[in-house]
Amino acid sequence: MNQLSTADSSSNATDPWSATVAAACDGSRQAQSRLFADLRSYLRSRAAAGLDPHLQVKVSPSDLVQETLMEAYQSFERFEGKTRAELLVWLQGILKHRLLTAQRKFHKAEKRSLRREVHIDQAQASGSRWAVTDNERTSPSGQVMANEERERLETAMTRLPERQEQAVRLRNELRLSFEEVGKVLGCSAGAAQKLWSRAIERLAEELTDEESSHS
Amino acid sequence: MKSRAIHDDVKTAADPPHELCEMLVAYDEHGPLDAWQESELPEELRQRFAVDRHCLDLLHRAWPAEPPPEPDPASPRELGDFRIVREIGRGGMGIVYEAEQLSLGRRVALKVLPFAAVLDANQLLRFKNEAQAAASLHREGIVPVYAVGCDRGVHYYAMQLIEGQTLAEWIADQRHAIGSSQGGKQVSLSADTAPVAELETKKTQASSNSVRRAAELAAEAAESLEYAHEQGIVHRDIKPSNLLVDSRGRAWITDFGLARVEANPALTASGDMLGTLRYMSPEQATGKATDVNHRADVYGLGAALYEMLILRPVHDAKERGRLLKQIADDEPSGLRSLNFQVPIDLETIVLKSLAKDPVDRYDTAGAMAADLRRFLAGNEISARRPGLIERAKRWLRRRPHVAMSLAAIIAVLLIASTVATAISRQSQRDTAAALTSADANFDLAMKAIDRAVKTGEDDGINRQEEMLQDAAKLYRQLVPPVSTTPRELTNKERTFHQRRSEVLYRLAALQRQRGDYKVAEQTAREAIEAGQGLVKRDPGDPAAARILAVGYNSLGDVYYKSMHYVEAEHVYSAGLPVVYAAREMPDALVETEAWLLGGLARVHWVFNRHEQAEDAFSVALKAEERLLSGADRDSTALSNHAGTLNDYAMLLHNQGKRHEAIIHLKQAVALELEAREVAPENTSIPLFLHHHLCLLAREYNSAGDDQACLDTCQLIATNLPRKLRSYSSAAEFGSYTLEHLKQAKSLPAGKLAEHQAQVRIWLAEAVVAPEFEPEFLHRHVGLLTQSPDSITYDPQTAVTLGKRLVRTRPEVARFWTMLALAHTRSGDPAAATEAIARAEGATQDADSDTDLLIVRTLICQASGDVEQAKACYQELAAWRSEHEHQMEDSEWHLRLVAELDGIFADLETSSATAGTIKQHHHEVAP
Repeated sequence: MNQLSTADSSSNATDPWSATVAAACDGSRQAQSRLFADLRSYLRSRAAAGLDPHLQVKVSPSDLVQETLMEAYQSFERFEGKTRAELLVWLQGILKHRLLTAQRKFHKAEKRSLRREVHIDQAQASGSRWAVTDNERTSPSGQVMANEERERLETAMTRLPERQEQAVRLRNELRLSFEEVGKVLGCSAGAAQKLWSRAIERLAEELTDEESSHS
Repeated sequence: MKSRAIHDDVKTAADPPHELCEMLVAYDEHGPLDAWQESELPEELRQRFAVDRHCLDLLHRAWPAEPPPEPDPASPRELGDFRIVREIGRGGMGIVYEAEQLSLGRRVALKVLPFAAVLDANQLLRFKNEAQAAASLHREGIVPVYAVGCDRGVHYYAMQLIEGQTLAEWIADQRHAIGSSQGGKQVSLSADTAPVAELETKKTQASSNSVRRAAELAAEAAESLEYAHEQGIVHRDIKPSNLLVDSRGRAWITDFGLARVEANPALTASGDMLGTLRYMSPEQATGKATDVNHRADVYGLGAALYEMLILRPVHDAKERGRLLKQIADDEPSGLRSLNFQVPIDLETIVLKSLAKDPVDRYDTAGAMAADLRRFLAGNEISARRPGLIERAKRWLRRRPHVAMSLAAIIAVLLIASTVATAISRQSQRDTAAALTSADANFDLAMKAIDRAVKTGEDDGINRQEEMLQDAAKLYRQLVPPVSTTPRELTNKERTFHQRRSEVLYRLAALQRQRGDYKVAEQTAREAIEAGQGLVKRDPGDPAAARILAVGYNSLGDVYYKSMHYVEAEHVYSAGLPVVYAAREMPDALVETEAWLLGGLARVHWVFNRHEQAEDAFSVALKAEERLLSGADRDSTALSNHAGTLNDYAMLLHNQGKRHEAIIHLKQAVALELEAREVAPENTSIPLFLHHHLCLLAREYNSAGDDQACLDTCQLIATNLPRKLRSYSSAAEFGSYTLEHLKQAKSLPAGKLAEHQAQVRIWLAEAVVAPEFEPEFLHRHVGLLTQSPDSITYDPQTAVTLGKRLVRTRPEVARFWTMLALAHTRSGDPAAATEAIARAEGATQDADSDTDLLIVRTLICQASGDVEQAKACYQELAAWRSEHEHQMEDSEWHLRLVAELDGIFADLETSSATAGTIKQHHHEVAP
């Protein structure tokens, strides 16, 4: 948290997005939309990672992102940062809250099952904590990819450890500086660089593995 | 299934060399490097870099660097030709600004769509087309659209600025004016206070003046709508907030063309969209998009007029699901009962425009306008009120699944209305006459309702609730023949009330299971009210007592489930004296007694009044036994009895009365098996059976009865309910027992190996089970990490499963602790330490201190930090002796503590504290 509040001004000066973020803070719907459109797919991957796999049958990560962005639109004046990294941290906070609400809603696990619902039950006891959902899943990225290459990339990405995937997405999809990547991930810029390099090596490995297994 | 890599970043994998790292960052930032830069890399890294480069190229192709957008112009904000002056309104679907059109220098209302980023290209295109079509409408009464446009990603819609207010604001003002002059007094609507209510109404409701005003505004709006419809444009979202009244008092319709965008379900899902939903026609609300035509606008206008007249919406549910149901099913309450100033003709017009089926509404908005004009001029209107038969037909048309004869429906409605009219006239003679004619039809009506309920039963749970609700509604309208002597209950009355009570009871239970406690409470209260009326007339009548007591039980269950234990106790207790006041105790009443006592016992338990809980349980059990003493034992009674035994056994377990618990659980298993035989189609019984068996295995295991425990495990494995394919419990208790047997050496080696093989199979089955509930997974990881000499020990699998566990529920501390243990066991103390740190930061279940201490001790031990390990162990021992009485130790705990005792037995300093732990352990696992 401390790291965020001490965002140094020197990095802001070179941040090509700072004007857009400032406009968004001024209430420009256009700037807000532009920023959100950009961060959407990253948030989606966070939602997918944070959601209980068997809950994904009931709640789609896209819906959660949608709700998150709606809430963000309605309360943008509460955002206090200056950079995209801070915006991302703020949005992740809202998303996390949405995730918890969704989980809580569907996991009303009772610690002791005392009272039973016997008298009625010709029908299924569908609320039972024993309920086991079938192995249905939404596809890893949910959206239709334009080309095969991109699809291959997305598949390989899902095989990275979570933080490595995050680092690559932040750096290459959102084009954040390493400083900002560090802020989102809660580490220094140097550590973010190392993490990212490791991720690239790992990703390269995954991609070649897959290539060789294909041919 | 995709699996995450096991080794996460930071500490485990080796960092790439510094040079390579820099090279990658530079390449990512600046693209292709000069050849000389690359040649600076050592030979072996050059190879690696070449591979990584391809990967980066791929990333760059996938996400090309886009130039960041042009900075936004600073305020005053401008959009295209418009300069925003101030915000004048904010709705679910955008913000409305007052703005200036720069080229023409005129004031406009500018509506900005805030959701551009969440709409896809198709939706935006549709919005544009619709808005452009709407812009072609030119008529007084329709707010003209000046421009539709998009400026740098912001979509907007410029309209004429109307000075005035929306009807929604007008209605709110009226409501406020009445509220303040009356001190917020509510109008009482119950029938018996009707005269009083009428007096109140006179003061509270809209005056006859404003009734006329509302009709005029509606007529104007209807004429405007007619014009739009003639141009082929349907509004689709007519509601008070889209109707404006200007300063001259003229009505205007606004927001043509926006409805298409608003109908996007993803957008309407959020709470503030309910406003749109509330005025939707049934065909829109039920998603029959193809049926939506100009008659949906007629409905919307009718709904707006309705609200203007009585100052509350046609449908008032606060929650989306209920609201949709109301729109689809509930007939609007009559206007005149809420505001007697509304003339009957106006009521007829409103109700016709609100008909559920579009074909029953006005054919055109023009026809509605004409009727409103006729009404205003004092002429005869064209609309006719639907007769009884017409109403019955409509009711039936909306419920094609009801296999009810039309005649029966009509009978129901006939009886309801004739009797109700007669009673309302309060003439003894008329009532008697109506009753006589009703009497013959009464049986027919009852049969019809019964059949409807049965139809619902066959159709599954959703239909069931719907049908029960319909039945409850019909019972409410149906008045049973009353005997001439007021105190005594006739047989017909008894049957009627019994059936009704049953319907309400089942309805309340379904609502409760759905978690809709508010509605369930209302249903239960309706049952209680009916029961109280009967008991007052004849307190000794067993049927009346049963009806009232069942009502109390329903309400108690609702309170119990919603965790209002004090209220639950109060209500259950109120039911018992009713039961005991009856002249006889037929089975039905005994059953009710058992329910109430069982409920009461559980409440006592919640409040830790164990003795009282035991007393209540044993009386309940005796009652249940009485019910099963006959030859014909039905599955519900059997399964009920098993359930009470099960709960009683859990209470006994908590008090350490293990052998008594075993006796009761064995009995529960036997009863549930019998129930399953009687009713093999019931899918709940196998789940209950599984539950009893798991508890029984636990009891046998801790009692040290190895053979019995193994047998029970076998039963668990062979009786898995279809819905639950987890063998985890069988594997768990089976493995414990095997270890006992191994230690005791009481089995021949061959026999032991046979059992071991069996347990291994269960274990393997459990791991491949498709999806684990987190709680099951948690226990299973515990099983895999138990102790190195257990046959279930498998730290590698434990780490994999543990990671899955924390990934699905990262907020639960216990789960992180479990992962830490798995890491410790697999020889990775660093990863374990990290997991422990996460456990300490987790938000849920932060009270699992013992787990944390145990695992921390093990980590220190594993990483060779003996001093620290000792300190942790002593802290643990101290904590345990301090909390000895509150401990509810699981086998998992006990085993780990025993293991620690073993480790630290050599340490002289800790022998004293270790002793206390050992003692505790031996008591459980001899």
